[in-house]
Amino acid sequence: MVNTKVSEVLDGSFLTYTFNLLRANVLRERKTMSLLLLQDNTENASVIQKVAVTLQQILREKDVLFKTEHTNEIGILLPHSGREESTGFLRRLQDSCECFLDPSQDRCLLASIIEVFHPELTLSNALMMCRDSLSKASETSGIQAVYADSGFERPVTMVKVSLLEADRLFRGFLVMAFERIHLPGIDLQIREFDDGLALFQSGWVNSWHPHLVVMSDVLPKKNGLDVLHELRAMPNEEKFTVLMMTRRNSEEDMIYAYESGTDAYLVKPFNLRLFEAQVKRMLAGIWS
Amino acid sequence: MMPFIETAMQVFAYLIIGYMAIVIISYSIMFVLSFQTLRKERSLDRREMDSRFVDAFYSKPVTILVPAYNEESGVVATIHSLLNLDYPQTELIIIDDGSKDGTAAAVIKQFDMTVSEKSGNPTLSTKPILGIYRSNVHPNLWLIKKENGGKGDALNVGINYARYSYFCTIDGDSILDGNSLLRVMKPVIASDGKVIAAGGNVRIVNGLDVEYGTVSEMKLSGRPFVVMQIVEYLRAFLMGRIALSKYNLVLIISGAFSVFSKKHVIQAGGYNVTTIGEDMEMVVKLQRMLKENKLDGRIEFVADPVCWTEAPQTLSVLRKQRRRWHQGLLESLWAHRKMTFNPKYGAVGMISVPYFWIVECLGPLIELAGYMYIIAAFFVGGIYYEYSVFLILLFVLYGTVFSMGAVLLESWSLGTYPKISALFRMMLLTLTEVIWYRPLTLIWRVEGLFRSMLRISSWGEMERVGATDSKGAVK
Amino acid sequence: MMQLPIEWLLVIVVGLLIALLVMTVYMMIGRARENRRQVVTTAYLERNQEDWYDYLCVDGIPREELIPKNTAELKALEELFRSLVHNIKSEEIDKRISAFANRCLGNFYRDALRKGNWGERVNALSRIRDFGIDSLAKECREMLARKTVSKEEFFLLLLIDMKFNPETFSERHIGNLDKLSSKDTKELLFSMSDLLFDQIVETIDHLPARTQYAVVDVIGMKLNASRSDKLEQLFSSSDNELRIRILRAFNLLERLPADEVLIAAIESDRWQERLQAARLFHLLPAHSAVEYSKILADDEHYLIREEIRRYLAQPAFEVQVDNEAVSSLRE
Repeated sequence: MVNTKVSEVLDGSFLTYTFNLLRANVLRERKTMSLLLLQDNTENASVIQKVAVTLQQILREKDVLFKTEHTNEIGILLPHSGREESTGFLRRLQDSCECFLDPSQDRCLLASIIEVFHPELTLSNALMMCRDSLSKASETSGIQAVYADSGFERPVTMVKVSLLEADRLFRGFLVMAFERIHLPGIDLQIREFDDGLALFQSGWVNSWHPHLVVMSDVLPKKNGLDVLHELRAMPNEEKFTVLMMTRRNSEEDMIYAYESGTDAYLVKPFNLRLFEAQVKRMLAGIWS
Repeated sequence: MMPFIETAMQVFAYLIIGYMAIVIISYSIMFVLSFQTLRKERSLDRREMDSRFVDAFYSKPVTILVPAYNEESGVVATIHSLLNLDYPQTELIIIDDGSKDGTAAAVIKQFDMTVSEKSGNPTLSTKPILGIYRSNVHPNLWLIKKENGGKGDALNVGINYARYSYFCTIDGDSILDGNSLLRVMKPVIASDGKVIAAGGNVRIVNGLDVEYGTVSEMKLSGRPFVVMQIVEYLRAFLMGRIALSKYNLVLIISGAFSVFSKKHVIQAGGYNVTTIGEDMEMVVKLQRMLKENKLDGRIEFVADPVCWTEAPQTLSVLRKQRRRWHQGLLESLWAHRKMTFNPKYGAVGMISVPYFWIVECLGPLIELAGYMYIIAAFFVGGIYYEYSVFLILLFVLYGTVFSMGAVLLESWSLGTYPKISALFRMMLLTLTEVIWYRPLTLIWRVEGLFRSMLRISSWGEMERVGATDSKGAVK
Repeated sequence: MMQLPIEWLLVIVVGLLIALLVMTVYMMIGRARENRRQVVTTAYLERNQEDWYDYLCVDGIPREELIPKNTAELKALEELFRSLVHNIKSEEIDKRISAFANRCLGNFYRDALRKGNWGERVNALSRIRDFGIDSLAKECREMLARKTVSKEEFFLLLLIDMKFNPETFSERHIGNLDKLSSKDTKELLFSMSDLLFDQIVETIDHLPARTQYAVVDVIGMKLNASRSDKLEQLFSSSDNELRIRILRAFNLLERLPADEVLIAAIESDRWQERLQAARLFHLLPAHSAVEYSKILADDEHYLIREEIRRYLAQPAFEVQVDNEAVSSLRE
């Protein structure tokens, strides 16, 4: 029976085009992509051919398999995957490829992983860095993974933060807590509002930036649930991460808030440390 | 002949003067009592109490009932203000009493409502229900459409479908402050349910800046007769009701904003659907029921929770409103006339009901006669000058002095109008009250008095018609 | 004919009007002064916000300029602490607030307790508790011993005494709980430490009925199932009100009582007991739940029928038990 699920193998200028396209996506979606370069240093590159067959079967639809100018090399682009996901992928590859099953044969393959998240990292640069790192790797049995560093910092993402709280003094404290949060790659732009209506009238919500909304459920004019409903009805609502603060400790309210699209829920009075931890976790989710 | 008229004029003068003396004395007593209460609570930071009562464990859940009849323009703002109440557990039921405008459609559209089911226990018989809707945004917001049957009937429908054991009635054009419900429920919660009904303070919203159901700036209306109404409300609420509430003598809490224990209202038979002032009638009925069943219950007026309501902007609407109020007053008192000076009803029967009969209900008649006397005396001249000057002074004392006192008391204790200029303008206007506003309202109230006398005399007839009708249906 | 005292009346009216005008002017001056104070308050808060944050949330080093210099600044401080205490929960911040409040606000509240009117005293007591001003603990205990305190003050004084002297609280005040409204009793019990509350639970048999109700309610509210044995034991009481509250507590705890308790509740002649029992059914294994539901499906009270109907209407239910029994009940 012929296996119909075979990925296409790209090369040449079409590959560069695809790489650039995927890299642009990376920046827009803030989801790291990994480039994997597999190298077979045995005499007639027998391992890599077997691996290539397996790869064609296990790759996901959005993954891209490509050839380089060297016949002993094969490359893979894994969108939405960082270093950990890629390492996992290699482990899976090793487990599903028959050629590694027999330990006596002592087959081995080198792999280098590089994370792509910066607009200035070109394909040829990336491949060069991979090869560079591979030259320092030692060969043992199985797939041996090394990591290449592109030398770039993650591009700084501007994250909008909206604080909606009617109590002026408490709001001030929350703003100061936010001002003291520093995360690499994230530039927090904080704005405070005393009411939901003011948030929408300010136009602050109308941009593509990821947006963290921290709000109290009871607000004078447009309350928390109204704001939540309106935010989630916007066309690009995924950009909003919502943390609801409430004085109501009833389960019914909590369930409803989660069902309407709250990402986290804090009951007042809450611990400021817990608040900071929640916020950091939510911000960490912005680059993955 | 002449001596006879002379004696009549004198007797009449003494009658009016005597009456005014009674009224002024009772107002003075109430003023002093209110002053004591307000002084005690003046510096209290009510937010402390609020935060203690806001916890869901201690507060009692409340169903808010909003009867709406042709309120398309105001009802959405009202709902917004009710959704923003700082109260742990509420349910909000809008009852569309067969409106002819787009009331229901506006609510359904604004709050994304769909047809839904709601469990209820229809113990009170009402006009049929046309449909029940629930909001997809706010799960506790409901709309019940029913056939037109008047405000009392709409409230009865709400009571039938209310989930919680306390309900709060709010007019379709009123707006609550965020902490109002908490504060009006405070006496109920603090007394372990001994308070079976409580009413809040109603203020006039005209001229204020309202956005999304929140009063954002306290400005004073520019129209003199709107300002006069504001003063009148202050006077009635702060002076009269605080004092009466102190001794459980309350007979009126405004239907625009009050809470009731559902159990007791059902026990009293729900709202009367034929009377004009169903809110007043309900309170009188509850007081009567408490006494007849020897229950240990109280009805309280609470000064600090505020409900903002739209006052009539034109004289003709104002006239209709006052006429109606007076009709409602008389009809409620008439329906429960056996309480008057009946020791079985305790202080309510011996003090409140007579007070309402003499001062509130028949007062306008006598006062108006006083005004006419003054005018007549100026034509006749002679010794009647003296009487009329004396009367004028009494009117000034009664009208202006008390009004000014109320404005000051309010400003001192609660401070709702923080601007100095606003306070000053209110004080100036109250000086002129006796000349124009007071006589106008008197005429309207007397008008209402006569109208309801006609209506009461036709009640017997109506009841007979009703009886034959129902028999016909059985057949 | 009697002479009318017109002159007298005229004097009274004019006198009153003048008095009112004087009061108006007085009030206007008061307003203006209040406005000025508001400006000072706002300025203080804006000037010192960062320093306050550093003191309370970062380093705990009190800076000299934070100490309020006048009443307006004192009020500002009070506002700030109030807002934080109500919104933020942190032992560290509480400690720092307490330290600062003891130093700068203690005298202010001592004066309020001694000289203030009722409203001012209640405010002061609330703040003494909220900000943990233990330097006034002695004053508060003296006040508690007085007979003239109002209900509100009495309650706040108990809370304060509980906060500052928890060890001896139950022996000194257990008899006092009866004087509180049930709402206040519950609030007091709920804000107790578990240790103290357990002491009270142990003595429940000797408490007056009203306090017992509150204790049972609070056992449920605390969402801690460790005291459910005590509840089962109390259920043998002949007091219906207590039994209803015990069942409600089981519902709050989401915990099944012993079988005999549940059966007694189902067979009770009080509908409130049966309703609370019906609400517990979802905790039972499906088969026994259906068996019990049969008993209550045709109950005379609509709320119970409603409860059973709603319970059986859950979609997850069908897979667990044979459909026949359920569908016959659903009708």
